[in-house]
Amino acid sequence: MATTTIGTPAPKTTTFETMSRLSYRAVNETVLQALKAPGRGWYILFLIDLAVLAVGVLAFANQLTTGLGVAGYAPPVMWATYITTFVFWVGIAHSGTLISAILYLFRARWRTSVYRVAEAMTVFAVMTAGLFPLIHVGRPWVAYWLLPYPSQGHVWPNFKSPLVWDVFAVSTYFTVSATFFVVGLIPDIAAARDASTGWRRRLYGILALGWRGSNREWHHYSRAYMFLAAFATPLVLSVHSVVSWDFAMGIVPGWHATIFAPYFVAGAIFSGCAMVLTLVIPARKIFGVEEIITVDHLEALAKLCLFTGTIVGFSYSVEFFTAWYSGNPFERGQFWFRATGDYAVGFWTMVTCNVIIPQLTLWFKPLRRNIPFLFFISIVINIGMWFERYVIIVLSLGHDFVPFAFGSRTQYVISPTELAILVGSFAWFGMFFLLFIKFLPWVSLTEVKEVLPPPLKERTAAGGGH
Amino acid sequence: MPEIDRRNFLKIVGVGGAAAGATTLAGCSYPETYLVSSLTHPADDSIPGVPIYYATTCRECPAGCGLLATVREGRVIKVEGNPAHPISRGTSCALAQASLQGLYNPDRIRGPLARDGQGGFRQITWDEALKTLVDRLAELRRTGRGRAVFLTGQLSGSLDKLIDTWLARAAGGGRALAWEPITTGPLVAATRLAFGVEEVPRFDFARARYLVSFGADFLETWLTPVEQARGFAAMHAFDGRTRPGVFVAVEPRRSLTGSNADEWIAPRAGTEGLVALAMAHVIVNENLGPSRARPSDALRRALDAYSPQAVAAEADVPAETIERLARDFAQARPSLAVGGGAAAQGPTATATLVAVHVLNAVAGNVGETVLLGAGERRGGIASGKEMVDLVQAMNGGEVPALFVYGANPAYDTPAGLGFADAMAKVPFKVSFSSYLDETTARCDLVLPDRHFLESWGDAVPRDGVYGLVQPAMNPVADFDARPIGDVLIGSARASGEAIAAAFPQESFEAYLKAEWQALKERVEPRGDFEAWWRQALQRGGVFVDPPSGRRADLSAEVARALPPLAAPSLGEGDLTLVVYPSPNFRDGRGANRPWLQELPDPVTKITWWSWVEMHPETAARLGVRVGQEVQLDEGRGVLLPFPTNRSAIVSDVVALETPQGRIEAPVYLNPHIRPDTVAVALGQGHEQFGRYAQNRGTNPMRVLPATVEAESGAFTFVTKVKVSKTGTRRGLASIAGADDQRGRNIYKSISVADAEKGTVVAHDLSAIPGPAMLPPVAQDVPYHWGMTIDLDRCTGCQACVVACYAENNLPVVGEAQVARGREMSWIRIERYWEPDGTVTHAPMLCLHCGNAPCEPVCPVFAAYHNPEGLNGQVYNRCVGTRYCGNNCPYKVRYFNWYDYSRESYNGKPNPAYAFPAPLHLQLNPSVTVRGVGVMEKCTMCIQRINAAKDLAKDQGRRVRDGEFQTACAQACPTEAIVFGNLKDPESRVAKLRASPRNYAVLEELETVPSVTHLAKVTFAEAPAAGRGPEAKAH
Repeated sequence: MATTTIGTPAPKTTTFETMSRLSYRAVNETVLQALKAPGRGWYILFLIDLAVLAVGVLAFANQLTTGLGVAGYAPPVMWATYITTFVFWVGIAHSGTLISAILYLFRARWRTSVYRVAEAMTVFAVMTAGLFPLIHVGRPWVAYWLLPYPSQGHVWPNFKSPLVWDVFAVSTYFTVSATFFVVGLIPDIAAARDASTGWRRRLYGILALGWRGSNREWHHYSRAYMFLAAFATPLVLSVHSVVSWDFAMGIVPGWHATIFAPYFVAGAIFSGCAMVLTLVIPARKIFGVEEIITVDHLEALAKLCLFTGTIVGFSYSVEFFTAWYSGNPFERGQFWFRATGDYAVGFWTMVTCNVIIPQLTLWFKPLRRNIPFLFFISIVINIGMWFERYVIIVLSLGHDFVPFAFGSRTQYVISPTELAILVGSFAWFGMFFLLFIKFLPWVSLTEVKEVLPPPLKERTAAGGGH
Repeated sequence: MPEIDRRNFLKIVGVGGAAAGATTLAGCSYPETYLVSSLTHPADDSIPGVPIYYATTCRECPAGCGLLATVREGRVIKVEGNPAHPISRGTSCALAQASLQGLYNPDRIRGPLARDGQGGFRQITWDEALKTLVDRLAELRRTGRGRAVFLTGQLSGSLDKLIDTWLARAAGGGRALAWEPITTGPLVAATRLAFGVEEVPRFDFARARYLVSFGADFLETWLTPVEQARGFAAMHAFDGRTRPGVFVAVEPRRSLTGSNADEWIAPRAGTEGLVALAMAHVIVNENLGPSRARPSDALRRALDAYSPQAVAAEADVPAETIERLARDFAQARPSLAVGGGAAAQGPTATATLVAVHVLNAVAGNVGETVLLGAGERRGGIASGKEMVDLVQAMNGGEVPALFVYGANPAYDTPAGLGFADAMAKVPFKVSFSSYLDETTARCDLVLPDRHFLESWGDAVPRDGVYGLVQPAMNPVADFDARPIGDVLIGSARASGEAIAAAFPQESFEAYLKAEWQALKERVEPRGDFEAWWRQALQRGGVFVDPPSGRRADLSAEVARALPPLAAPSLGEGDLTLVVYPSPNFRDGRGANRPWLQELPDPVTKITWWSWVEMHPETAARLGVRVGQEVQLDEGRGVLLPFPTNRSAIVSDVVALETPQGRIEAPVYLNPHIRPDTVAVALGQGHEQFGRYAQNRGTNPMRVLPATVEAESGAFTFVTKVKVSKTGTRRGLASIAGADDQRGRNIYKSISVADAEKGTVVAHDLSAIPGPAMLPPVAQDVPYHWGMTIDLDRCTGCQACVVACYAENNLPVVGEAQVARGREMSWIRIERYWEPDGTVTHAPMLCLHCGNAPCEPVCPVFAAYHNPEGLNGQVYNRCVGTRYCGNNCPYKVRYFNWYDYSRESYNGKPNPAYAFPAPLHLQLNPSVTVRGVGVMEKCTMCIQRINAAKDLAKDQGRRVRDGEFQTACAQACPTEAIVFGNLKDPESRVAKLRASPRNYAVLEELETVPSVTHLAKVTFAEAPAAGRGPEAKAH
């Protein structure tokens, strides 16, 4: 039942050949079968995940009661793994909205099969990222002072501080991307409701907000969806720009650079697309949706990785050029230190993972279409992007103005507490993702169908209004 | 179940939320404490919150500086120099500042102890203790045959006399020996040989225009460091017009003192005296000295042999260097040569110091800067020879009783002496020490003395300087200690009437007063004693002009006392070990003070452990690896000959072996030591002495032979050692991130010529538009607090650092935390090795920027700007994002990683607690003790600012310049740190800020700091190139 809103253009001949052979019904059945009662494999995975999360929670509880000393901080490195991981997750959160909102507006139709995963990933990644500022501050029990609330003290937050901007940027981003996610789910949940029984049916019934699939509903839905897409689009750029200003507004050599906002946004999309690949490649296999999420989709993501990765690589070289060209001894010292100093391993890990390996491989189509390779490189990019933030944060702080105050390698080492919390953050993210994949349609039925040829023979047979 | 309506819903949400909040947050927040104010009137008329100051005399070393003890609510919380005291003149040193941690040391002995028969001690009562003592004394008088021995530290007052009387009468006779490992014995002997006077001369540093130190660490431990630092600043610091003098250090290992030298010359250990004689040779041959200083023919003939060429081969110093030094030395009048340190504790110690005396004499300095008969009372220290004899007597069962007070020979004598073992042969050993040190642990009876801040006493370091020691507070309640004087008098008076008759006073206080009555007869016969006494107590003593000193001629025999023209034999081994006194611990007595343990060594910047200083070439030859080996210098692309980046040094542990023993310590690469020499500091490696000192580092005494030098009988602190790698590695907690400035020129220096011309060091930034967001300076506020730090005056002594710990309740965090850079020291002294061979000591603390990078990034205004120009830090408001710390270009913000302020969590002791009882009694009640998770930093002693402003307001005036200072400025012996009101154009700080040498560190960042630095003044060309020093010397 194709509508005529501008958001859903009439299907053209698609390059996604395998997909076009699918019927609407097949799409529903393939996707919704993931919502059946979980099997043993899922439970085992979920329990492992909870166990890992529990270790992280205990580590945090210990840190909360004894002090941040249990983390590996080694002044002048006063920001380290937690902020690195915060930026990492915020970055991951980017590609979801990019894929669902920007590519939506740009009519990149390949997004349809992966955008739901990407969007869920966004929401969960922001939920993960949002924990880290709390984990990182010395007194998390008063962290609410960063919020502008009326109090008897008449003290507001300092609006000059990029950290306050961060609070706004991240919370806005979370609100909008969560809304976008939930609104986008409505028709699919309705489909799930119609295909389920028992408590699931009641749950989906509530979440579907009484969706009937009427023309009027579709009309409003499409309008709302497009409005939210338009609303979310600038946020994609703003949130990571603001996060980058946490650094760029500081005067630390290696931070204080105008390139930071675009550099961070490109890096965020780079890592986000890689994370989508990491999540989608096993999921499409497990749930047998290879026909919906085809190798063409994966290649498209790989191309996006290549594009943003090239920007990232370019940014690295610009940073070095600027440091050299400025003649500023502190900048020069910082970048010389990055490449040759105590933490050079981190720097070269970053360069290898983010520039050398992707640039040597992703330009070649056979590799872009090699699914095991894509899975491998997505992990490589994720590691590389984590190290990018590590390099920016730890290395810049470790080597700034006053030589006597320099830190060195033997000083900042990630501590067991930080490692447990870092790994725990993946478990926290994984917990939501595992629940999501079992409880919500993880591929958008609605939008996948939009790119399929209209079902001419089985017009009324498909459930849920399609 | 009640229906959920709006009211019930709100109730449930409210109660449930509060409960959840309370349970989760209870674990995070601070425990509640109550302040209960006293309802009774304090006995000493003190007003809570108002400090009282008591003048007293420091007993931490024999220098005898005057102190003012600050007492708040009945507790001493801080000591300052006594401005009325002629030696310290209101300043102090690190050791003096840390005396508080001797007073409140948690490992102080809590009461008298006796052997329990199982190798340990049992607590006894004072009655028991005194009874034991009296009984044993009676026995001693019957059978001891006058052979008892009383070992003390260097004493110079009434207690010294009392001990003599007590030994003679109560103990049936015996010897009193004053044992100090850092001895003046060779100096006294050399002065006897050179001038026929057995004494320590006075050296007038301030007048010298050319100073050569042959190993004397006169800014650290030698004679009177605080007074000498002041004199050194007077002769060496740029005074606004010119730089009065030049300082050259001649020593195989460059000490902190040597690091202040314009030129460092490194002769072979033990040949310092030859260099001095070669200089004398040149002066005599070229007839450069004044006519009155013309040497005798015998001396002239003797000096003939010591030509620079002959000495150059032995000392490994180029003849041209010696000639240049000699000419400069003779031309600058007056000049001054001093000898000490390792040079004065080698196998030719006395001869070396005779040579230095000869050099001074032929240059005409005797009577000018070297004053004889000046009443210095710094001699009388037992020689190593006497200790050897004592140990022989002990081993032979010839010593029936040993009394020890203020000395720790079981720790600080060479291993070859075997003092500790010999103690076992003494049937009755009594210690009066307050701490369970190595000697005390081997005693049979421990009668803990009170700390000097709780006691009566006096000290006369110099004729005319009669310092009083008075109790500044009631004794710390945790410790049942009695003053040694009272114990001696009490035991004597209980030993029968005949003996009691010799002790007419009942207490040491009365004894002291009687002594001072006699003193008054001598110095001021007129007037009432009580009034005079009260005045003496108020001033900290009686200070009359000391004897002015005189010149003296070299004795005719001096030619025979010169060192032989050959490097002395130092035994078998591949490298020469130089053992030097630690600037922090002296001979080890400071090692149980956590402040001093956490205080970085001023040269190596290492805390909490021992190290072996080794030249990088030697290390490379031995295959010793230390941290990073060599790093490119970013600024110029030049390979520096020393490693440049090592905050936490992980280095190979080497073993130093001699026939006497073996010690192990990690290597520290020091480019400022001869390649054939290694050095280890005294002071660590205690087997006893409390939790902070015990089993920490190594004691180099364990490898020293008991050989004594012939003339003075002093022990030798220089010996050959076999050095080998042990195969293990160990980290050293250094606070130095880099050892050179990386060509960044952050701490600027300026040549003497430019400084004299008044060349402006700071860049002219007026053309650049000012920072748009710069908070406007409040016009209606009369104060803008600021500070200047003169890099040319700072010697790197770090008295300011300890003063800050004491004033501002800084926690001590321990070695593991320092290794992670988590030390909390609000002020640090950065030490840089400069390419021109000089060393910069740069104090760095919060600069209180007018355009502070820390302020805008704080999300909650915890970092804020105060109308008086200070960067405030509101601990209560701090969330702990640490953004301010990142954005501070000076890296002077410190974070509370653990709760150093909390004694226990849920009943369990907090391992990070920094103030174990009774150390907490030292805490300054005017300063918050910070909790976990907040950032802290220098407040410019805002509690002092507020107190001064309050007082001024009460008196209806403004705060006067110099009325109060910050703790660091007050401690500084060289007045490198000057604090005051920048808005007062007449203030010292405002005038110094107008100096052309004034500049803001990292001025290009436009932080507009309230604390500015004054550039160091150096000779543009390295003095070794043969230019510079002589041109400016007069």
